[in-house]
Amino acid sequence: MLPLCLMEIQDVSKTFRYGLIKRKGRSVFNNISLSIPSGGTVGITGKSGIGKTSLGKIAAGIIAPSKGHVLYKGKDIFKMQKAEWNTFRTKVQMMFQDPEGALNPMKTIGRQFNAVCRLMGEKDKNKACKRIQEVMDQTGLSDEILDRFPNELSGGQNQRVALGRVLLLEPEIIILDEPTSALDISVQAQILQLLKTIQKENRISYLYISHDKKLIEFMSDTIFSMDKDEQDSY
Amino acid sequence: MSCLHIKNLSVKFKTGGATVFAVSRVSLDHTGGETLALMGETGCGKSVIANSIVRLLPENTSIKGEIFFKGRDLLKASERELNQIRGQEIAIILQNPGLALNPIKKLGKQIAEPLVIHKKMPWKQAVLQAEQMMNQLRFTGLKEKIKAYPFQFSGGMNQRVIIASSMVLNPRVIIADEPTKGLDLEARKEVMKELADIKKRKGSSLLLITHDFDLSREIADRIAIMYAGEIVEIAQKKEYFKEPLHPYARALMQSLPENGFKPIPGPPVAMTDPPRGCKFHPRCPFRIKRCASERPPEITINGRQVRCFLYA
Amino acid sequence: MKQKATIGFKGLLQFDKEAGRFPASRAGLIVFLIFLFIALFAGILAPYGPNERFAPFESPSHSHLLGTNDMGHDILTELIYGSRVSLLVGILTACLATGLGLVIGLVSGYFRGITDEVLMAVTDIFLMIPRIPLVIICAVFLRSSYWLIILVLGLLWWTTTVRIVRSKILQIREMGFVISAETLGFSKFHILFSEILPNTVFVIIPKFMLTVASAMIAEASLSFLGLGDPSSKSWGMMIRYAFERGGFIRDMWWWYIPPGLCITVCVLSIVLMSFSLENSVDRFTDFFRGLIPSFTGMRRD
Repeated sequence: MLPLCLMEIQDVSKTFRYGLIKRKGRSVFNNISLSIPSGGTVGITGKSGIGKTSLGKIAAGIIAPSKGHVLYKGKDIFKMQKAEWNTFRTKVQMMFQDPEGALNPMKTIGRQFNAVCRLMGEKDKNKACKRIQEVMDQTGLSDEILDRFPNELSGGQNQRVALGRVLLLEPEIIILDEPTSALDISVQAQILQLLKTIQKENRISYLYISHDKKLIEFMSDTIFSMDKDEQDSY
Repeated sequence: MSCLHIKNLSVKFKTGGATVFAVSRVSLDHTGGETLALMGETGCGKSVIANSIVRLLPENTSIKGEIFFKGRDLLKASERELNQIRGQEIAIILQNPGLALNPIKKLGKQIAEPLVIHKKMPWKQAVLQAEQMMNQLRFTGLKEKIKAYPFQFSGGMNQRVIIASSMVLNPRVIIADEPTKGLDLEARKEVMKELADIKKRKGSSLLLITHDFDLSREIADRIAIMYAGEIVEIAQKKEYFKEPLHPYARALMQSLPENGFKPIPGPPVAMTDPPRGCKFHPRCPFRIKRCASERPPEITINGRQVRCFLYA
Repeated sequence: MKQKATIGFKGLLQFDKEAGRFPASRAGLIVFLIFLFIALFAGILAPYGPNERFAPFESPSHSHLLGTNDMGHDILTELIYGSRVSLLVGILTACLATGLGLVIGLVSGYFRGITDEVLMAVTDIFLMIPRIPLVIICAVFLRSSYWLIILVLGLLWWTTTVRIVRSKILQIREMGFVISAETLGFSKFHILFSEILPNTVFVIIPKFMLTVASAMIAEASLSFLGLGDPSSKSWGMMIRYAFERGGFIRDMWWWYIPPGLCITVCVLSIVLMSFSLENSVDRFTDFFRGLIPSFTGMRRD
């Protein structure tokens, strides 16, 4: 039903090693496989500490798996050439749990948006401003926050800014690691609705990580539970 | 049995040039032996109320109103009197249990400490009593727990230890500020059980500050909902969960996971610039002209109180 | 209303008002500003030119408030011009030391691995080198001057800054916004200098100030030993000449006490300022953040 498979996680295991001479290993998870279709949401759930965040980071290419492969559009991301990797880096993004923590406390929101525009190579100031305005409209942010710093905004606003920043890159996949668990109940509801709207409008796939079963059921098409390594489809 | 009477409490403080109106003319009665859940979202003022009762607010706060405890206005009490009351008669359990425990002291000693300080008990006796208390917490392997350090336990266990600590002097009133915040499901269940047990055993009054509806559903007798520094509804638990009356309370229930995450429209209130009249009116689907200019009075309906013109 | 772009003199005064809770720091700031003012406008403030000669060894009088020295120069004029030298040497040394320490600490802390190990080993080696004896030895072989002092002290003093910066970086690199920046695809260079560097400010600025203070004292000590430049006298040199040319013997306290007092008071004011910065991080943050747009980057209109 859902067509193109954007990302495939194949037999991925992660062991964290520590110690200088005798390298002891702490195995986080073993042999996980799942695939993320275009435009859909895959949910990952499980108890705290079970390795959901690590799996998300591996999918985002932030840390490398001990075993297994992560394929983006058929290519192994950890073996990509520079140009391919740059594309991957733009198209696959991640959002984190702590809204304020994702933003630089010493820069205004406007500058943080600008920096991403420049990263995209957008040299024309007017075009950049326009793009920023579009993204702010989509995420429900008003103009006055541009001159504020992250610690002056609420958790909900900060999370919208983080989302807006990610949207500037026009990603295809967003990996969301408990983006609402630090937020109030009503704000959480707002953000979840926002995420759903944006998914439809921009046709983005989500990999949604949460320990809250009801939330996962609300957001996902397919659910992967790390508790028993079983897969349920909804 | 003791009562806490809060009359017309208003708290405001200055931060970075702006004034935050944290609490606006709140009146609340907390009867002896009952568990009152003070609920609301970030910035609604519930923690500020808790800290006002035990006068733990920062220096640049301006507090108006009265808080009566056993006939005395706590806001006018001297620091000495307050030191007597804090811990012994009114205990407060603050957020982030990990931070309240001294990481380099053994647990047994920390639980025994209030006894030694307030009741001037000798250490050995105090530790024995602490042991008894921990017994009641159903910790297994007792001797080791007394000699253990906080980092050896999970968040949930530490939270229970804090609760035990606060019970050691048999206070009349316990104020628990977000006791389940940041804990995972297992730990939350432990803490809920603990608080329910204490209720049964000691019959203390519990003022529960939380945003966790599961917790209040389990152990609260009455529920008070706060929004933007005001109490908008107070009701008995069963009646509240059956049918919340205030539009904010209703909308909040609809945002819950079990009701489908339906969002409340509009941004949350800026506490430095609250709206005139009813604080919720900009986001309220039932608002009328009056709501923008007049503050709704507290209206009593069927033994409940609601601050809304809908019920006038 | 939020405190934005509080740049320049007005900004310092605004910051000054908010430092109120620690009056010592406000005094420190004002005193230091006075010294700075004196150093900048020495030409206007000094009663005479730096090389004008009068009758030597004169006691304080109406025309010479602090008397004259052995060469007949007005001591007050010398004192005022001396502020320039002392402050300049102190500040330049601190710039060099802090700048080096900052860059090395940044690189070492962010990249870790072999780079970190090597740089830390180098730091340890530099830590062992005794500074003041090295300056003395260099002065034997090279011409003794303030530049020598600045270079040697600056090239040796970065070690303490490096440690502080590195440990702060180790903390910062784990923070959410750094990982976010990496995920968004920013280059390592950008992350290091545009994202992480501004967050090290609370650590760098107090350290910089304390280094200025230490450098001023070191310079005074070295000048007293004769390693400064006799043509442009710092406060330390003034004391040396007072000692060497008979000021002590003749009990000319108006010659050697004022420069010593100036050094002490100036250093004290700097130290008080830096203590208050550590205490009121929030106000300091707001003040500094308002400055950032003037340094780098576009601002949305």
